[in-house]
Amino acid sequence: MSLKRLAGLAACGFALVLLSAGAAEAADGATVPAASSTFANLLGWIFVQQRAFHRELTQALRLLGEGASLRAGLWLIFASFVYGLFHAAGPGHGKAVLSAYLLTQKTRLKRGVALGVAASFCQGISAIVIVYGLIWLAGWRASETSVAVSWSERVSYLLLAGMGAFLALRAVRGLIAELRGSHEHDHDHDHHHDHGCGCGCAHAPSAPEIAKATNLKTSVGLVLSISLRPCSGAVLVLIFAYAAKIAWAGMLAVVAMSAGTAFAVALLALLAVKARDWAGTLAAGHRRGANLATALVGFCGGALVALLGVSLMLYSFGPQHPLGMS
Amino acid sequence: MRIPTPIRSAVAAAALAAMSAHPAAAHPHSWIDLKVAVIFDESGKIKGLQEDWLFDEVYTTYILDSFAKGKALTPERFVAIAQKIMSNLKSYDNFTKAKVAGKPLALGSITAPGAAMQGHRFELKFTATFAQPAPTDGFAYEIYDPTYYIEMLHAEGKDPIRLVGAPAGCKPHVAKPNPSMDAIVRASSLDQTQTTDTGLGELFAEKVTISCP
Repeated sequence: MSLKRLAGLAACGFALVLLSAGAAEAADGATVPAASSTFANLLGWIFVQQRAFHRELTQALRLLGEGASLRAGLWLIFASFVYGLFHAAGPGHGKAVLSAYLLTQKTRLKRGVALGVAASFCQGISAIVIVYGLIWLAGWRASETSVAVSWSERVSYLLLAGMGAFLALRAVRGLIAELRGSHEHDHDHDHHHDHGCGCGCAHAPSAPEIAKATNLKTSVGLVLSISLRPCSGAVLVLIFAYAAKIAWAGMLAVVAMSAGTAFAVALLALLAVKARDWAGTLAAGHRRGANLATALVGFCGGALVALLGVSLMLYSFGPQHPLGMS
Repeated sequence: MRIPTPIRSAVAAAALAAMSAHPAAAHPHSWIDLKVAVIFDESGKIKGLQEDWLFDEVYTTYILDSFAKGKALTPERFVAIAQKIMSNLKSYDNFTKAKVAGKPLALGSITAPGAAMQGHRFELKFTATFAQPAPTDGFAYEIYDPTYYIEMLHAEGKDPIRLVGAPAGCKPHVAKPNPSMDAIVRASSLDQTQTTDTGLGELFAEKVTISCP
């Protein structure tokens, strides 16, 4: 139960940051009688905004379909950006993966934010490549592309499972190194191991190099696994724009949506890295304990990401939505 | 060795973030505006609901493309699409949950659907009759997609809910959803959503009751 509350609070905190950053008139709607209803109100409010801006986006596309104008173009960009922002404020696969990673793996702030931004834009681009690529190059019917999207999603889940296993394994290696290290030398004499190695690799000899290489690998894996599962909101907008014969406007809308999402996800990344750093400083008093904890947390994070990949994979073969995209 | 509390908290938060990624917890990607006529029989009981679903423009494009498979959209084709949608919805009780005093009301027959375009939007119409006519006292209905992939709300503007053949003075009431944080988190978690009935959709559904003098 406390677990659930915690997550709720985390989500609530994220949403609050979003509100203060992005939206002006939020405050008067949010009365504060009890934590639960405030959270529900907030989520409800986000859903209302999402619907409203989706409508704006649709109207702007419709207008552009009737004849291009600068005004309609700017309207489209604005509406898509805000829609992306609110869309990202709800629960979702990419944010879950990213926050699980950033909360459990030591990452520098800049890198965490960069990961969020990269994943958001790559997700938009992958939607464009899959949908328009298949329509233009392979001659698929617009709605058929959702089949390809669902296969791309499965690749993403596979990648997630693999990456999670890799992170967990790396943490185990770190744990073993840490335990073995404590046998080889007395812990009381001043022997500093502060060489910027905190990624769970503990006392391995060429730690910075290893850390750098594996961090790059996991970063690429992370961004890939998020972007291979394009947002079905983006896919739908692309299909709609194609039918209205304004594919270019669809792409413009998706890029603007990605920018909105990137903004929201960057905030999430910032929070996650800060939260982890904060937890790290509190534990820093006991060096050996902290190292062990880092490895344990890293292991849990990896296991979680792997579990997420496997369960999403299983679910993807389950019953389909009666009216949904395949 | 004890793991420091903040680190345990971080892991917990990560676990939860990961769980909330379940597809069924996905926020809505399409929207349906509802208009409902509540049909009464001569004795003042509720016979059924005449539902009118108006899909958003974007989803209209997707649905027509995916169900018509590139064929021309003749009136007959519209009917065929509507029938296909209805047969898909059958095992989901047409997203229609009615209750009397908290007990589920079984759906009886469902009329042949009608389908048309309202401007750029696809409109689906059908009438769901209850197996047994229901008293107004304690009656409530909700229309929602359990997965919350589609958000279904009563249309804005006047009279989204009409009472047909109702005793004089009867009025519908729409209760806005206000789920607790616990419920939302529970509905978002992996194991819970394996059963189709406890998704986010139910938590964010509007609940309609009818009061008669």
